[in-house]
Parts: sequence; C-alpha cells; structure tokens
Amino acid sequence: MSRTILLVEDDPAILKALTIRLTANRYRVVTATDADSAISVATKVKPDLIILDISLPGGNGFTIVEQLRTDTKIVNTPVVFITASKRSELWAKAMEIGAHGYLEKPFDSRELIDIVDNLISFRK
Amino acid sequence: MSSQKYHILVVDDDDVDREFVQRMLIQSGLKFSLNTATCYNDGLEHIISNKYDCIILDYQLGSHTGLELLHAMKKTMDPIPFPIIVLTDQKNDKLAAELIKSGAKDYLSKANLFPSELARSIETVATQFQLDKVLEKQHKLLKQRTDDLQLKNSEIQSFYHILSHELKTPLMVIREFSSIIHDEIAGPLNTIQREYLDIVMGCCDQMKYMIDDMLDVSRLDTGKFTLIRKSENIEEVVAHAVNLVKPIASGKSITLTRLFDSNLSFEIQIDRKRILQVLMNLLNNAIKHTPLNGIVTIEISQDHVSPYHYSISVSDTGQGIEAQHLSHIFDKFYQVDASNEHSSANVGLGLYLCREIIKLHGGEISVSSEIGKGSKFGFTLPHVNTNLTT
Repeated sequence: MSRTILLVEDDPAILKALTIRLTANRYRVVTATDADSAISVATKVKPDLIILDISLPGGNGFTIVEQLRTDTKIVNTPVVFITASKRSELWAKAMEIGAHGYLEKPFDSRELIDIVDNLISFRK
Repeated sequence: MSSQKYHILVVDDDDVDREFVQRMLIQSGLKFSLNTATCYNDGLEHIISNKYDCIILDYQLGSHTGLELLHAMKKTMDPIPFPIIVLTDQKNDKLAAELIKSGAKDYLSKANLFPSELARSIETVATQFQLDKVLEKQHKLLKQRTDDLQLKNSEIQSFYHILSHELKTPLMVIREFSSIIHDEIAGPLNTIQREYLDIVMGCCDQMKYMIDDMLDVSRLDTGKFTLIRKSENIEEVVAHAVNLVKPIASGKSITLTRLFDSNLSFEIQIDRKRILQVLMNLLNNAIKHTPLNGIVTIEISQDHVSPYHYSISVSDTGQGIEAQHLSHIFDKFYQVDASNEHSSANVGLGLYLCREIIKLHGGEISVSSEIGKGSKFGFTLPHVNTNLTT
C-alpha cells in the first residue's frame, strides 16, 4: 500500500519537482501551498509523513507543526523541514519541536528520498 | 604667554571693580579686546548678542548674583557657548562647587587676584573650551558614522539574505529538474545526455557553495556568524569528510591516507558542520591540486606548541604554492591563480572562511609549501577541557 506524504511548499516549481521525485519513488503526494491549507489537508488526510517549508504565506512551518501536534491522530507523524535559510537558530528551533529531518535549499531531492524512505520504513 | 587675542566681556556692577579687572588684564600682558556690562540685564544682553573668548563675571550683581546669570544663560543657550570665570569677594568652597556645577569654568578671589593668575585662568579655560568643542564635534561625527555603518551593516545583511534566498530557489529548480531528467523519470536518456546533465548539476552545486560562502562572509562581517558547539570525536568527523571526498579522489587515483595519534582521546567541543566545512575545503583543494596517482594525507596529532590543542593537517603531493602567495592565501577574495580564466569558478572565500571558523573555535590555521613537492594546510583546535574564549 503506498504511503501518503503531505508536501507543503509555496514555490510552484519546487513543489512540482519534489512531487515528481516523490511520485517516482511510489509515494502518494498531497500538496498545500500555505499554512491554512496545510493544516486543513493534514487533518483530513492524516499523512504518513509531512515535508514542509519553514517560510510560508500565512504562517511558518513551526507554527503549523505545533498546531498539528494537538491532533492526537497526527501527533506522531514524522516531519521534515526544508528551508532556503542558513540561519542556525532555525535548525535549533526545528530540533526543539521534534523535526525528523532538516534540509537547506538547494538540496538534492535524492537525499530527501533517503530520509523519507528511512522514516517511513521505521514506522512500518 | 599666548599670542592669541582674546575678546573678553567683564560683567560687574561696580565701576571700581571693573576698572580693577581692566588694569589686571593690561598688566597680565595678554592681548585682548574688552566689552563691559554694568548689570545683570546688560550682561545677559551682551552674552546673547555677541561672541566672546571668555567672560569674567562678578558674583555680586546688585540684586542678582552671578549664579543667577549662569542659570539664565543655561536656560536660553544650553550648553553655555563661552567659558566663564567668576570673581568672588572671598573663597568659599561650597559656592565654588555650585558655580562650577552651574557652568562656570573657573572662579577667582578678587582679594587675591594677580595679573598672572588672571591671564593663566583665561588662557586655560579658553583653550580647554575650544578643545572640548572640537572633541564634541568629533564625537558627534563618530556617532553619526557609527550609526551610518550600523545601518549599512544591517542593509548588507538583509541584501545578502534576500539575494541568497532569491538565488537559491531557481537554482534548486534547475538542479532538481536536471536530476529528474538525469534519473530518467521523464523518459530514457543516452549516455551523452546524462553526461551533460552531470555537468549542469555539478555547476549548480558549485553555485550553491559560492552562495553559501558569500552568505557566511556577510554574517562574519556583520557579527552574526554563530557556532553551535557540541562534544564530538574529531577522528570521526575527519573520517566523515574523507568519505565524502573519496569519489573525487578515486577519479584521479589519488590515495587518501589517515595518520592519527592513537594516544589522543579525540574528544573535542566543535561546531561539527563548520569543521566539516573546513575539512572539505582543504581536502577538495588538496585533491584539485594533486596530479593523478598522488597522495593526500590527513593527520591528527597533539599540537607541538600548545598542550591544550590538537593539530589537524591536510598535505598533498601537488605542485606547491609560490612563496609570495603564502602570507595572503587566507585573505578575503585572494586567488592564487586569478589570472587563469579557465580555472574553475572560485571567488576566493573558501580559505578565508576556514581561517575565520578556526579562529572562532580558538585555534589557528597555517600553510607551508614547497614548489614541486606539495603543500600542507594545518589548523589547531582546543581540547574539550580548555576554557574557550568565544
């Protein structure tokens, strides 16, 4: 049964590239482009893993995760953050709220696939 | 005695006392021009309307005092624009303190006044007053420049942040779609097409490193470069770096050799990501400048000079570096081979960043080289038990 990944990214080209890569690796991908729709989709779909950009319209990745953690059905869903920023305090904050992965753009999406594969197989 | 001519105002309601002060001034040998004011109001009007090098003010001014005149001056023109010497009938330390607090620069007793004493007081307060004005002007200028620099710093920081963000996004898109095509997700490829895409992705990676370096440098310049130090095993960090460069070294049949002093504990407080950055920079440089079948050696040992530092070095069997470059090689934007337009993209920041990262860790970086034999880049890092300064 294919696993579902919620991909939250506001840049349409990056969203498309990562969707192609994840789909090619047999993941079912649902997408969101801002904070509100991310929370709405996650609550409805209950994904197996969430990949989200830290900087988003209408919020940031951290507040989305904090809000999703209040839902018992997705409190343990692994989260991987992606960001264009190199600020070390963002990495520290991500670790503090329990991120399972953190990648700085531009990253090789094959590296993202390795992280996703490990996290998903660990949850089986 | 100064050759300067002083424009002086004497404020005194007593004719005899005014003449006395004038006589003292003549006998002092000072060059001066003189205005006089005969009461409090006259004095205040003179002060507001004219410029003086010094004001000699009698403490008793009819129904007013010199102290009241000082307060009135402060109210209308704070700071008081001229140095003021107050003449009193008798010595009174409490009064003197009050006068100085209210803006007088000196006070003298009329009863014990000598021409030389008057001249000395005028010269001293006038000179000091001018110096204070110059200092204040310089201070204001310095503050303005500091404020401007701080603003510029902040603008540079924002500029680099926005620039790197705006460059990284399309760069990632270029790399990602190249990678998707390369991996045949969009359809089959021939060998030549895959090879061309390898070149595109390689250039994307180069650009990423250059953008990251520029961002690091802007953070260093604006004091926003921070380290996150944790206890690490330096042998393991070096091994990680070596593993990352193995593919490039294999491509040139270069042997990577590790020499570690097994007596060391290897435990060290470092920002792993940053030390890895230094090691990758030095290893990549060594491999780049070493010919086919050469050797690159990485060594960890106790530092010979300081018992509190480890020494880590990367040596190669390359062409070596000419002596005139060695003292500049860690400078910002310095390129040993800037004249070669065919050399791979390099903005000359890598070694500068290495130096700054090692400095922030409390260590030092150095280089030695021999033409035809090779180069050795080394740096020291303090042990985990050392008191770190940053």
